[in-house]
Amino acid sequence: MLDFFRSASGGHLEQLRVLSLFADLSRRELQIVQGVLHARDYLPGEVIFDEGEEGYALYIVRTGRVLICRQGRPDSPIAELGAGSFFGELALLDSAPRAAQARALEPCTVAVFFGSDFISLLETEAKLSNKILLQLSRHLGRRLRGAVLGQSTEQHL
Amino acid sequence: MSAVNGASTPVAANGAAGPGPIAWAAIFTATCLLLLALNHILWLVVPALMALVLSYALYPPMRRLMYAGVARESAAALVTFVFLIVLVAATLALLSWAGARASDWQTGVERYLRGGALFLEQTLAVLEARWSVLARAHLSSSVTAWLNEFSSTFMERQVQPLAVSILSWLPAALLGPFFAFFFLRDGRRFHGFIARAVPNAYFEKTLDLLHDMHHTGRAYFTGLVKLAALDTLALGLGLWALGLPGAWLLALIAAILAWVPFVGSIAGCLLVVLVAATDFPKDPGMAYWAIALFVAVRMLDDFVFLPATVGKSLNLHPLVSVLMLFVGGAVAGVPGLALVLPLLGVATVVGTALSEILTDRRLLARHAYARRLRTEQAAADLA
Amino acid sequence: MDPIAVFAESPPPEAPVRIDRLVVPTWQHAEWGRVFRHGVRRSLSAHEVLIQSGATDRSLHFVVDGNFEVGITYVDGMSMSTVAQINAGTVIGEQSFFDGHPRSANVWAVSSGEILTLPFAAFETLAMEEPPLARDLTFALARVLSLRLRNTTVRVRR
Repeated sequence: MLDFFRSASGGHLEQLRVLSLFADLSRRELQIVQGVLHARDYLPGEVIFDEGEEGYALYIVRTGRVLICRQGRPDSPIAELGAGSFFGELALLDSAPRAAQARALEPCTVAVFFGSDFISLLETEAKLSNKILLQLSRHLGRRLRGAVLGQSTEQHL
Repeated sequence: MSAVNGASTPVAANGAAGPGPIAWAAIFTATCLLLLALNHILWLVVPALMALVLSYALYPPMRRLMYAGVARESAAALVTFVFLIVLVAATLALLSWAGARASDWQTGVERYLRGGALFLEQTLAVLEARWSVLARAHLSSSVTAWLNEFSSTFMERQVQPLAVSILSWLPAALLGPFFAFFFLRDGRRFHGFIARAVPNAYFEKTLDLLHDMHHTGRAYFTGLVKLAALDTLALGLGLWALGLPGAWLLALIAAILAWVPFVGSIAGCLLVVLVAATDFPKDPGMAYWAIALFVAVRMLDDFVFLPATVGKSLNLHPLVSVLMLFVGGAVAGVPGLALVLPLLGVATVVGTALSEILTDRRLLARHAYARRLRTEQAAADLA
Repeated sequence: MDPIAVFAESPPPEAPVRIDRLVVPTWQHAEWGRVFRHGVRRSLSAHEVLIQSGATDRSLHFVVDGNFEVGITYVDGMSMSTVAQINAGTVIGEQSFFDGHPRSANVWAVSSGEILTLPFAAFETLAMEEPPLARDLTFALARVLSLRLRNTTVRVRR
């Protein structure tokens, strides 16, 4: 009988599943996450966030490519992120300002995971947030390994 | 490992930390204008506030249902329906219980009013005996005459209009659960609607603002409940120690009345004094101790309980809170007293965010650049 | 030293300030105890190796006492560079703990010390038995990773 009350599924859930951050989530968990994500579109060259500004959200690239660079130096990129990658997670974890600038390289669509929604999920859905945090930590561990060893890290996950 | 934050070049200057004097002036003006406007549509404001409180209270069970796999719409309908069932059942039970005791209540009210009047007479007589200047001013006879006139027209001038207002507001009160259902069902959608309407440059700050508003509202109402609990405990203990019958019920009623600043506290104190004076007619000291207890709890409220509960949620300077209470009362009477602080809290959150956004030259520049990009894209194939 | 006291209580004033200290603000002694009962305590003498580069274990080491150094070997296989010094109140080995890849650096004890080792399998058991504890710990570890990443990025830039 509960099926009567369940929300209609969409292809949107499968689009979420291909994102690395949500790779381990069940269908129900994807529905919960889908309910809190926001979608934004950016044109090539448009700034997503600046280095040094206060960060409130984590961004996930749905389509297009995003450039990560030092403030005002787009010609010296730190990384180029394609569909499925995420960025901006550091500000969520340690409340420090953004460590770099992010701008759209191509027309891109991003899904935005607002920090307070993320914290709220942590408080109410321990198993779901464990899965997301594990993926997040794996990603950070890979980046840290690359930074320590002085290698460029492949950002597309 | 040394402490670093990773940012080497500060972004172009933001506005000063916190709103400046112009922003504060705008916040106070907006609060007063809102009070003026809302005072004219109280029939809508009261159910909207009820709906807001109800949606905060019903949100946790709704969220539990959603996380169990129930669709948002169905979860909202289910929790609202269950609440309505409980409300109707409780109302029917209360009406039948109250109906059986109506005549007792009328007798009781008259008894307590007479007891209060007698206590007032005794107190005035003592004052006149102690200070001859009061006797020469005929304080006792003036107050007694005023009281007689007030009580003779009480039904016509006070009770009738109040009863008519309550009856005219009753249909509007039914809007409360109706609004609450839509707040629960569509609140998230409305949130997303506001966020989508905002340009990319201001997007994160807008999300943060919406979150702060929501947090302020919820914290304020939670603070009110905590304040009522603390007041009930403090008053209840004091009244129980004094030996007043129904100490805890009286304390609870007085604590809820205190939600309306000043007027509510005085009404609560009057209620307790009436009970003390009537149940202990030969011991006026009981009523004086009750007044002293109220003053003591009022001091506790102002210096300890309020800052720890409601004050913390609104993050307002105590001086600002007190001044705005006077302004709220002057602008909109009793409703103004009740509404001014939460309105000021929300206006402060909105005003702070707006002042940060509008004084951030970098954000303004990013927005202007994004608009130019969109204009160029739209005109790409035009000569 | 009591590992619970090291992580549950504020460090003494004379202890070096660690920005990447493992902090879980909502945890008291009881919570730390419930996590640490899944771990194994071990003492190390000065210069003893804790982690060998290339090793494939997935344990997380909580530093209870002592000083440790983290070093990477350059491609010539001979020269080594110290990348970090770690003391009580934080963790070692978090990268391989999460991603399962072989260890990328060597870690040895500068002075005698003590660690508490939590195997990844034990962490998975904790996640099944007590999801809120696992969540809090993972968040705190992710925060340590992000702080170390920021710090490393700045040093690489210099």
